[in-house]
Amino acid sequence: MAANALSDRTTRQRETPSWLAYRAVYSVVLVLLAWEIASRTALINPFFMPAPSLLVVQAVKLTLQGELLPHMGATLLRALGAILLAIAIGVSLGIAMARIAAVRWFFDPLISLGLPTPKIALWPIFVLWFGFHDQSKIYLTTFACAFPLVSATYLATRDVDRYLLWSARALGTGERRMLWKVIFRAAVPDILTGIQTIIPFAFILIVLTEMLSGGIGLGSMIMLAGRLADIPTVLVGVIGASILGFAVIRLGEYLRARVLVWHEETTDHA
Amino acid sequence: MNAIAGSNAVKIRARGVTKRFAVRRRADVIAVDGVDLDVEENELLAIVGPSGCGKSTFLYMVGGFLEVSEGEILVDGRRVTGPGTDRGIVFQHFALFPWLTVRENILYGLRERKVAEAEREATTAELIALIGLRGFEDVYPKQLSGGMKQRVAIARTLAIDPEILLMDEPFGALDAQTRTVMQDELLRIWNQRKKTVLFVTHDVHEAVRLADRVVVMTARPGRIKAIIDAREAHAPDAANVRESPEIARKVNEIWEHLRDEVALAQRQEAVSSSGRGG
Amino acid sequence: MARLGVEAFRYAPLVLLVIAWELAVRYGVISPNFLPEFSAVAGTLWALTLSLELPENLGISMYRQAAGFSLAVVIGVALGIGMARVRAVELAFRPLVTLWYPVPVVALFPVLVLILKLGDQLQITVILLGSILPVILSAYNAARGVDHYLAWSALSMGTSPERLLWKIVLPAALPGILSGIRVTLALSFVLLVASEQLGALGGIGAFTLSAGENGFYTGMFAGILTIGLVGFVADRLYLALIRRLLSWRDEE
Repeated sequence: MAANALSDRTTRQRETPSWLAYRAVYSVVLVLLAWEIASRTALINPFFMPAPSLLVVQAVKLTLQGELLPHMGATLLRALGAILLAIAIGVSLGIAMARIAAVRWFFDPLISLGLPTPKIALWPIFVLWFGFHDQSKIYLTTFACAFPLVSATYLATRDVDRYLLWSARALGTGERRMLWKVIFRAAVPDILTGIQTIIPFAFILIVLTEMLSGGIGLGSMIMLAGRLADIPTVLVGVIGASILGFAVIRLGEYLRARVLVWHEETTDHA
Repeated sequence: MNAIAGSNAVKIRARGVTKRFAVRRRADVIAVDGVDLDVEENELLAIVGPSGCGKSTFLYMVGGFLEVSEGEILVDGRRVTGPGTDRGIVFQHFALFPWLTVRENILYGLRERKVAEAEREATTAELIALIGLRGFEDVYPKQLSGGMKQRVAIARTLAIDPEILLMDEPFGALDAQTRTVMQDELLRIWNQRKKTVLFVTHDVHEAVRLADRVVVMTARPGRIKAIIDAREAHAPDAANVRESPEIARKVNEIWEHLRDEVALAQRQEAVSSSGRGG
Repeated sequence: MARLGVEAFRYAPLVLLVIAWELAVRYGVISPNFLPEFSAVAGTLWALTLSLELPENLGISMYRQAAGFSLAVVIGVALGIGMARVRAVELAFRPLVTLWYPVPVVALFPVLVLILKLGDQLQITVILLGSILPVILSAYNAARGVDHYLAWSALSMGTSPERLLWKIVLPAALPGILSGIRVTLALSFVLLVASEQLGALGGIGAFTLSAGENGFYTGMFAGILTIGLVGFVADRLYLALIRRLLSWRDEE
């Protein structure tokens, strides 16, 4: 849902002139500069808030020592794996719920009960079932992300404009082809919104489960550095996770624009 | 006409009123250009013009919601600097407060002006009766039809008893039948409580039926093209006459002025939207 | 009675699932080492409730959640509306919000532990920092999206520009703000449990994790069921509240 707000903002930003975007970058630079100065002059505690320049130095150092990229890679792969799995399960279950009454009957109470509950609470169960390695992290994240995705797909598929269905039927589309040719196509924008919504959640949950379990991954790196009170490394890890999430969110927006060339929301701006 | 104009005081006086909007990376758009206009006390004056001609912009400047770029607007000889309770306004899309019931909407202005409770209850009851919405006092706007919503909006404005009523295409969002009923309603209310009314519409027939005088505006930049007296088209005792040869003649007369402007406005719109698309 | 039947039919899958769980474990399809019988979990839940171990931990957690969530709502609404209405506030906070947006706040946990030490303040801070953004964004967008004709109407009826905030902007923005707060409510529970698992003095999340680590699986499942139930009930109560507050809203 948080990402919904973000995608709202980004679609609006697409319409805003470039000077505004330029000013946003400008003001971010200003914040970083203020942070740098405040930290250097000990206006804020430099131990807890080390200057951005020191973080850059630390990031370079960790990269050269080969201690950053493997963690980022592991986190990225796990998150992507969980997102893809969640898409496979969530979209097919959502469509099945919209089309088949028995499936809807069985899953509706489970989804509505599970949607607002904090799935991270299930972590000990997933550890018990799948151990401490990749599987438990990916599966818990998949499980948590599937709920909003099932719900989004179900609503999108169920609410396909009936005039669209009527025109397709009048033009001779058979019931069987209807699902793929019309319903799925019409539901794609909302399904994509659902997918974009889960991206930040997936990253947060992967990092969180890594923090809870050790081994490789940004979360584990952050937790270990925290125990050694190595705050620059912690912050480099946090920023690394932010960058990964941000990059995948952007990738999602790019893919959305490619898939939805026909949609009104995709317009060329000179 | 002159005799009547002489006998009535000028309520609203506009002198050289101009409104420019800044547009990024382009020349300013001039919405209203040097409008001089006197609206007499208790007159119902309609402004017609092609869409985008700045007629609503002019109304908003009289309301004090927008600032004039040049010139000045005087109400009772005092310069308009902002919104005030002497000028009530009714918008095309009603702008009722959706979180307040019909009664609370009508009460709103009375409460803001700290009118004593007994008086404001009496006023509200009277207005609800006037607009024929008894029995709907405690429903929310979402439960009302468009015509009913606009009645509430008019009553809400009348509640603060402004001397001037500004109406911005008030019946433009209603279906044709409801619109006719509402026009009759407005005439009835206006005959009961004399007010100066400034009425913006794109419906020439509506303007002729309702107004004492009709101002025809040009396509953008909006200037006054003609001012036509419509009183002679009104039968003396029949406010409810919808069609008469006199009305038809007046409508034609105004259309003669308007035709070229509408064509020009359409060309402007096509040009500006193709510019946006490219 | 008919309504009751409909509801029973609707929630029957939940009952079926629980029966399947019980039977599968009892007849050895699933090892009790992986999944304790439902009846055993229920028994432990009852025992933990009587011994007050579960209620005490839940109380600690609910205090943290309530504090963090309320702070996020109050500060978030104020900031969001402030950013929408006051140019200086927007200029000051917009870059911060932009920078803050992609940061996974739980990942800052190690730093926050060092600064705040273990204690309620730690969980409250994690919840506040991690769940405030949806409130800020929804309040900002809702307050900016207020129909200016509503404001103009109010001004022409004698409302002063200063009072416009209370009389028009706040009620008009309420639907948007309330839906943003629902996201924050769900997030606050996630952050509560996560931050208690990462390190806390007591609380239901910490209890559940340590039960699992000590092989006390019925207790672990009992704790997880409790958390799920609390999150669900909170959401439903909130929905009921929204429905009451927004009964005037036109759903069309």
